[in-house]
Amino acid sequence: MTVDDRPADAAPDPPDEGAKAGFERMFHAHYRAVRGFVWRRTGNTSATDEIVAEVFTIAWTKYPQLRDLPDRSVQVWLWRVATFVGLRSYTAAGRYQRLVERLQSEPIPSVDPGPEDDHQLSELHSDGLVQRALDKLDDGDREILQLVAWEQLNGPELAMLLGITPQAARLRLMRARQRFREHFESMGGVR
Amino acid sequence: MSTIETPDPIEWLRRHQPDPEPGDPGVPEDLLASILSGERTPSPTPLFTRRRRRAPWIAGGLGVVMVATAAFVLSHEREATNPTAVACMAGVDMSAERFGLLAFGGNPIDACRELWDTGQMGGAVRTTDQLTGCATDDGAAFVFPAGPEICEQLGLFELEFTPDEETERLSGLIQGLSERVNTQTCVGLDEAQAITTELLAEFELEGWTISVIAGPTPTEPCMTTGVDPENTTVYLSPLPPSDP
Repeated sequence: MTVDDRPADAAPDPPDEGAKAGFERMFHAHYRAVRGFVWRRTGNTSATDEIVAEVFTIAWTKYPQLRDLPDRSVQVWLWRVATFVGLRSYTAAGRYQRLVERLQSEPIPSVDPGPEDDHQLSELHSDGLVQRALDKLDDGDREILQLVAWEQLNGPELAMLLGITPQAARLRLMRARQRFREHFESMGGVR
Repeated sequence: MSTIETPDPIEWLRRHQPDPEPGDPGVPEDLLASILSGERTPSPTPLFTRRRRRAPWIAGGLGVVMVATAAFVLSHEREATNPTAVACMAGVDMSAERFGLLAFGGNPIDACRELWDTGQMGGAVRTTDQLTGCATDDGAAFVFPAGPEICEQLGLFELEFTPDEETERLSGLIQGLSERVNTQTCVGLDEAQAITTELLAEFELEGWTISVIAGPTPTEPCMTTGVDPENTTVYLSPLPPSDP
């Protein structure tokens, strides 16, 4: 069967009211999640506005293919479209750099530590090592860790976002963890 | 000085989230209205692409993202028979639990097969080797653990998949690895490498790399594989203990 064999420039069929209502629900359900995803990567309001608007505009044209997917899958699909329509210009490296700068601007605990300060110093030292180990990862490995950490993606969702098979996603995540551990341990951390 | 144990980088990143957007921008009803009215249509070219040709954001995977997404954004014809989003159904009716997946430019049935083969279908048990793709008349795609009769039984159409040559070869690799490694009781490293090499040659996938992420261990002697088309790599690793 051919689901839709219209030429690319043909006008789409007028949407029915059910589709409009469904898309409205989808828009309201996912707008903030898409916006948050884009914002975390751009840190720029006007770019976020523009990308999010484009994402939902594309989503409307694809709504028939999306409406039967689980909510979470729709969300990941929307994030994926966001990466396509322009997010790639706003690098993870840039975002990560902002995070590093923020952490570096936090006050260093006082010297002459008591037992509590000792713990704090140890945490700070650990944070520094983690930052350096993350710095040493390539962008792909670091991004995978960030996607799982910040977007709470599981294996199939990660696969959907990256456009690779689910098993490859699991293995790439495993590799990213492994490389992080190697960098961390090479800087003095231990298993 | 005391030693520091390796922390979980994901836990660490969760504790160090980027700052949220200040204030609540709210949900823009005017944007919704302009989309639904047709006043707003997708841009003919991706936004911001002129700034940088290849940014490192999701360096691994981005090429595939671009190719696959461009396919559905720009080509109605490809979208028609090769949907990019697919619901992998855990049972044989429309009320079954479903897992959304992208067909990553390949066969949607392959995409779902790998979920089944690697135990990522939420604990559902597959009772048949057959997987069948069905579609609604407006293009939503579903893959059921059943024979081709399932589409008609549910009032759906059989999903057509017309891969280009490269996709067909990729699909052959994925299916071959699935049948000969991932669904076998236990395939060791040497055998997994040999099978992968053989399949890459069989499907004329040149320039591919076999990357052994970790070798087998006494407690995890069986290997599994994952295909990464973007990096033209097949990963080999002991069966992971659990989902991320």
